[in-house]
Amino acid sequence: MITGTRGDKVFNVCNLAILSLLVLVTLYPFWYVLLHAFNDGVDARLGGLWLFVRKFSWANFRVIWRDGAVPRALVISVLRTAVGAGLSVLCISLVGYALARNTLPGRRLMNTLITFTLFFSGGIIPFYLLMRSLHLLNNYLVYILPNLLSAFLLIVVRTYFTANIPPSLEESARIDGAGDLRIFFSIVFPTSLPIVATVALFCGVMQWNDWFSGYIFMTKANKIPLQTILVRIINQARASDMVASQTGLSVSTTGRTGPTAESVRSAVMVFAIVPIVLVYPLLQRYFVKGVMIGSIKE
Amino acid sequence: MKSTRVHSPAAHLGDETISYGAKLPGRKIAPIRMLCKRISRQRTMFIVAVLGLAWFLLFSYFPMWGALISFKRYDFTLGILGSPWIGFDHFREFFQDADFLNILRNTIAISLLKLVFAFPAPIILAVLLNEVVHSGYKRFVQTVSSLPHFISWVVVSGLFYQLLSPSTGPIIPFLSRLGLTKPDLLILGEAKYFWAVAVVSDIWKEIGWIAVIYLAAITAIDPTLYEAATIDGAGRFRQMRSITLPSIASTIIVLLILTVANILQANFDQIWLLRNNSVVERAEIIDTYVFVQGIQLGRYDFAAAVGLFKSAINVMLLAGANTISRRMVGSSIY
Repeated sequence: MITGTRGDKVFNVCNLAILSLLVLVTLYPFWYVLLHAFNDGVDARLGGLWLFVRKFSWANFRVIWRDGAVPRALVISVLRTAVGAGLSVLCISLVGYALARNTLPGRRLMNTLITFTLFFSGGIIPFYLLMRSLHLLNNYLVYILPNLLSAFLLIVVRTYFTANIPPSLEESARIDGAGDLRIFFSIVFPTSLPIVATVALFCGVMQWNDWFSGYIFMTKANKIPLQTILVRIINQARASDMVASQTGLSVSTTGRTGPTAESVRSAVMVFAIVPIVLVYPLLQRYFVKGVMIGSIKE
Repeated sequence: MKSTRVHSPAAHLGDETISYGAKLPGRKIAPIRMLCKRISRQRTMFIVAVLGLAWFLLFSYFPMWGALISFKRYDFTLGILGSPWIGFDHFREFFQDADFLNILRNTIAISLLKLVFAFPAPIILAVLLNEVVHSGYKRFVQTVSSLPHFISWVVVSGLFYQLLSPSTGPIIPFLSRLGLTKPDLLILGEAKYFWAVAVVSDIWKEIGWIAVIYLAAITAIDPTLYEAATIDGAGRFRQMRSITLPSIASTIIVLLILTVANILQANFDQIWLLRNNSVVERAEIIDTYVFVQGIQLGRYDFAAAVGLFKSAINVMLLAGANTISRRMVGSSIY
């Protein structure tokens, strides 16, 4: 912003140095995981594998591919993200639109009731008991139904529509005899792509990253998503780590090369990270915009 | 948008309802009839809104009702209403538990440490980013630093476990070469380091995203303010102090309110995934205690009571903080 003085130049250099350090510290863990996913596991145990692949190997991914549980968990994650986020977007947009229209009777009451849920909740125990009594335990619907709506996203959408409903388009469509739903789907929804994209991204990330639902609501291991199975995998590896550090022994392996629990864990993590890393940089501004809209008071 | 000129096909139905049902003398129409007429005019959207509300009634309000088991000895064969009432016994049990003070201490300590270290960090980052002239690099740093926010805590905790491993990770060997630690330190197995790990990992994960939010607020500041200040001879730091920070003060205050009010909250995901049996003494927070007691040990009523205690304090803190903020600064959440 201001240039010229020597103090400024020093500041700029320091600033860039700090920020570059931040970038490195942020990116390095991702590089580390990638490294260890593509490196031979037994070789990685020797330590010192920090910058470059020492012994390239596909074996870790092969273990995952052949194992029954992880590919299945991956498919479940993909499906629940697509279906869950898709349905959520539909419901949130529709309900948010309904709540935005100031002709709706009881609007203030409904909005207050919904906003209140942001501040107070019954807790996870009553929620768990509710899922149990709804027969949603060990049921794939437990990934979808409790996530159909979100108070935060509803407020974001509602705020957006309150400011952006195209009244003239709506009036002319109504004169032509179109009903409310038709107006929504043919006119309002297509022209609100930015906010729809934002909601879709938030829901998608939430579905993809959710490990807790599978953790407490599923007892059958074949119904859990990728993040939940990753928790199990990390726990096991963590346990062997602790044993090793306390007794000085490492868990024995059968050969000189090959995958280990830790290297396979890295490979699974790669799957958990890659979609986010690919999607986020391209769509960052939609996330920011969504939060901005949601924080503007009416 | 008044709907008096609505030409929808259903309009005439409203008229019928009025003429059919009015019982009062004169031309006055009962309010309930007006309401029904308004509803039927907006039938579809009203149904949509009510369905949305029903979802909240089921998934948000019904569990609040279920929190009643906090005051009962819950027997699922008898149901919520049928189970015997025991008043505050569960709460008494919790307060008298040997671990109660420990749990409370851990929860508050972690939250306060995060408040001291993790709260200002994104603000500083945003201000620094704002000073970067090259917009391409600015965007790059923003995108990269906010990426960890969108990775799940499962992955982040896994990353930290790997990086902090004394045998294969780079951090411990690096620190021990500097003479700061012993080379075989398993940092995540020692209770005394737990809080530090929790705070550092929280900063790593969230600093970028929150800074991006602050930066968006900073970008909204009128640039002519800066120009005038430069003409008046104000240096960069003076401008930061007098223009940048005051302009985002209300954003900071709102987030500060939320953070302080959530002092008993301390991120369950993060703590649960970093927690293990060796560090329980420092890692048990209210939420993990509720989880262990309720889900793992099956003591639903007791765990619900502990959770209710926490939620109640939360709401009170939030209301209090909100009022204070509105009185002192003028901005509040609701």
